[in-house]
Amino acid sequence: MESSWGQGATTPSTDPIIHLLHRFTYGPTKDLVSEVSQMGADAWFEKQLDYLSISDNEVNSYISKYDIFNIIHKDMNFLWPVAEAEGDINRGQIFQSNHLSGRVLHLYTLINQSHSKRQIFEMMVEFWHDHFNITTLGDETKDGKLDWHTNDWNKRVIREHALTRFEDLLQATALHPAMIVYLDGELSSKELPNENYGRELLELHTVTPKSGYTQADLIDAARLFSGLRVKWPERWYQRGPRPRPQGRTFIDVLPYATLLHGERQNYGTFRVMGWQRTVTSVDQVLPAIKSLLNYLSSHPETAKNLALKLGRRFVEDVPSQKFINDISSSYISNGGDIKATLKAVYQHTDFKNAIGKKLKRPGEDYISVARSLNVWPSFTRLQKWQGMTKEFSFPAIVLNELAGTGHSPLSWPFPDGYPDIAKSWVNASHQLMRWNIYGHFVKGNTWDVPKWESLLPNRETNLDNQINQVAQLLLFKELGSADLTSVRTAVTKVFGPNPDMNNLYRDITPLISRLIFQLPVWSLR
Amino acid sequence: MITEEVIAQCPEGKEGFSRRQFLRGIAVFGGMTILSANGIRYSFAASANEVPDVVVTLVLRGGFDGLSAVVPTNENIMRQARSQIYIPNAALLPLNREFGLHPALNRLLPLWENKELAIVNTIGAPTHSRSHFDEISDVAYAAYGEKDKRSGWMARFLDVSGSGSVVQSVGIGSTTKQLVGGKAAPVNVDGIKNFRLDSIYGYRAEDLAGFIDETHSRWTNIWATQAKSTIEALDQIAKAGALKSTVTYPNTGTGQRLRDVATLLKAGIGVRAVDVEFQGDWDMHANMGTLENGWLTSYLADLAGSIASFREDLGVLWSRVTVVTITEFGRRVSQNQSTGTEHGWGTSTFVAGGGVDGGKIHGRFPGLDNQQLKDGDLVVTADYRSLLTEILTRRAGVTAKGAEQIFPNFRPEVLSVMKHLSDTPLPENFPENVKNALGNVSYDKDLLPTATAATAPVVVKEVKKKTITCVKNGKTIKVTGTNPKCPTGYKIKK
Repeated sequence: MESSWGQGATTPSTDPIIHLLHRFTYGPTKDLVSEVSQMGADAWFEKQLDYLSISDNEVNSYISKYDIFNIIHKDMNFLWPVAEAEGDINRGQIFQSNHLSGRVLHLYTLINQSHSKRQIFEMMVEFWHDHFNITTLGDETKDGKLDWHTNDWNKRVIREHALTRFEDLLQATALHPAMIVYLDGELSSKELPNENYGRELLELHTVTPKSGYTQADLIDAARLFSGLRVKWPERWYQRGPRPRPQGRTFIDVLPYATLLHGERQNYGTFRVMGWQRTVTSVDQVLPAIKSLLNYLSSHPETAKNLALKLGRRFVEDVPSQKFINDISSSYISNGGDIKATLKAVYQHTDFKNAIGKKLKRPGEDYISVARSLNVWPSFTRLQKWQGMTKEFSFPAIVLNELAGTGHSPLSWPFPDGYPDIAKSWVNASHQLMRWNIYGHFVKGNTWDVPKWESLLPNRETNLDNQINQVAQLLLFKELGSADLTSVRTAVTKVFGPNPDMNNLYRDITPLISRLIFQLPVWSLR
Repeated sequence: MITEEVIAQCPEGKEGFSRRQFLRGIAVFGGMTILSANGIRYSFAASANEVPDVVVTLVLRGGFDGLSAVVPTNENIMRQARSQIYIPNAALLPLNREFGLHPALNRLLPLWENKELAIVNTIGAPTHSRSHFDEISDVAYAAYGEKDKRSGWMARFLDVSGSGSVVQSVGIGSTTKQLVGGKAAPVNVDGIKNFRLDSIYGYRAEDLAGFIDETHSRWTNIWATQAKSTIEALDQIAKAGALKSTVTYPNTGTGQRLRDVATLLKAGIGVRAVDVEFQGDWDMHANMGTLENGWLTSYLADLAGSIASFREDLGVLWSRVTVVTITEFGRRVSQNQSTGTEHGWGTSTFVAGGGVDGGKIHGRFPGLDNQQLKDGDLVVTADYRSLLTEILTRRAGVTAKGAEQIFPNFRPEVLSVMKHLSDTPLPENFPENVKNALGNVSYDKDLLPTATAATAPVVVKEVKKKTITCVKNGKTIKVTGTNPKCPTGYKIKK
């Protein structure tokens, strides 16, 4: 996205550290900027990639404070007894209809995006959620069946593999119950292989239509996966929420709650593009699947697809052909290693030259505000869900206001993930929602009230100084002269030409902050 | 007994399609979505001389059963096909010799008698996939045979005929639901009220709007350009919201949505197209209910009541509004075992408004005999794009050339459901503000589509899949595919 500006406008910071933090984190903060300045950008980047070495005590202790997070990252075998214990024996309404596990996952995601020290990791968790999209909330098209698997998906597929090798991640996605439910593997049969997964595997997850695959390739891919089923809890088969699959041959697909159903599996020779394999017995199926996924993950078109998407995420809406070539070569030569590929993105000249070229998506806007103000979701309200006896402290309003911007975490309703280019997010009502949300933040309506005194270094009594101090906190630079005048004029319009900065500190400071969030420069990352 | 097949009946897409892509660049706020023109400007031809219609689509998601609404009076066949759910002739509101209206639609009768309501048989999409997901998205894209399905026909309509207004189209319904994340947030059907900028610490909303306008005018990019449009839209919608309707609508989501639409149209802010989703799912596989009450009856009453109230509310503006119902497919002629119906193909469509050749059933009903059906479904005798083309060209100022851009790879047939704009003079008491906001379109009958084959067969494109029946030892299975073959041991049944 190209921008230009006139005299007196506030322009994006040209500091390479700020740029780095805009792109590879959910937003620069005062503390992070000083950390990176001290250790150096390259060293910081390396450390971020080695994310397990970074402790995340602050987030972990916050999460452990609230009961509702007892269900975070739990699978259906844990969740179902929770529903039963609540007396909700009617098909797990609290999860299937209230989408409780999805909501908790969303909140967990927002907390991590805003406060985790593992920022590049969190960025990549979101990236892969979009790339391998399953809709983690309110996917009514699956009658709530998906809700049982989304937390386990987030934990054991996305988080576990976010910074490994693409092939490992691809395999995990292919075999996990969430993808099987989402792309209709449950409906697939030997005679009528459901094509949804086969299609998205080729079209979105790996080689894309540019590779020239045919309908026959797609059908063979679908046939190869036709035997995969979810292994629902035994109690479900007894009680009737799910019919017990009929057949004799079942193989556990570990480590997930997935079965390979021998009688529903197709056999014979499978041909997908340049790949070919003959499968004559059920024990040859998983090796064949792994072989196909290996072939696809090392395909040059997969490399280009990922290079394009990484470019869009971290560099600019339309990455250059050179960038795509360079990054895809790097992906191939590093055997699909995600960390090495990310490093190549960071080191690319296009990245360094891309200051101010990305518009924040609503979710990024939201989190960047929370980070700048160093606030946490406000758990002051109790929430009672239908079908549950207990009330929980839960900031439902946080999820609701973000939903209003069209960017609920991990919730895009289609297999292709949230769009990542500016024009998809530019429209009147999203924009208006974002503007109003700045007001919620500075007043502490939905997240905690910002602690202005500790955020700002000095107790300024001069209005212009206070404005520039807030600008420094949020933008890491001073306002342009015309914008400074606009902000000053706005403040004096409410509080008079010589406002009492001492008595009005907690009114004036949030207003200044609200106005600075409102500037066009804030919309960029 | 629950079998996998029963569970698998409706696997996909009850709400699976993004209205977002339909309206393009969409937006969600509360229960309303607003599409901004974002700089589209259109210079009208000098010969401009007609005020165009506002096109309102009312989407009946889930698959609308035309046979339960516009009921064939051939009672014997209907009873045979639908022993538990057929509607006896004695209960029908007579339309003509062959059809009667479901009694729950009685509030549509005055419109029918005033010739403001037409029915079109048997409308549908060119494809016959019976899949919610494929169909509702394809119906909204309406770009069969095109690879890049990024914009819906309504967005292309606005591109072709851009009015220059900031608020060109409004979508109310599942956009919100989809993008707000399903049940995460309540659908706010009172959307207009919420489209406003908050004041803060005594800094008034209008001052904040001024601040935004001023600071964004120092920048040039799509965000800053949008900000200016948004500020303008705020002003316009605030004006609209100040007008209160005194008409009583059904107390339903649909009723309230149409009330919002009426408010916007009366405000004269230049809305040219509105997409409203009926609140509720027409996918009635089981327990449709009885003639007196239940799922179907309450939905039909809501549909009729909402349209009738909308018409009453609009008053003289009704002369420049066309409302058309849209659904992904009709339903199977025969009922299933659960007093419901399965996904079908063709269906009846309602078209209401000031420019409708009303009080008539248009189109061709294909017949209910087995050999006249396609796999048990009513055959589509008129492509829904023909109907939309006619609405857009005869009522909304689109030329034949424009229609080709809106509906690529398609040659419409003329259905003559709509009157020409030039044959329906604007009433003298038509409000000036609305007239000015709608602008003028140059209207030339010679530039409209002329393919006249009223009985031309529908060109069925993109039917990639075939279904064959295979048998083995008395066991029957169906196989669907582009080139379906029976599995080993099975023989094809001819």
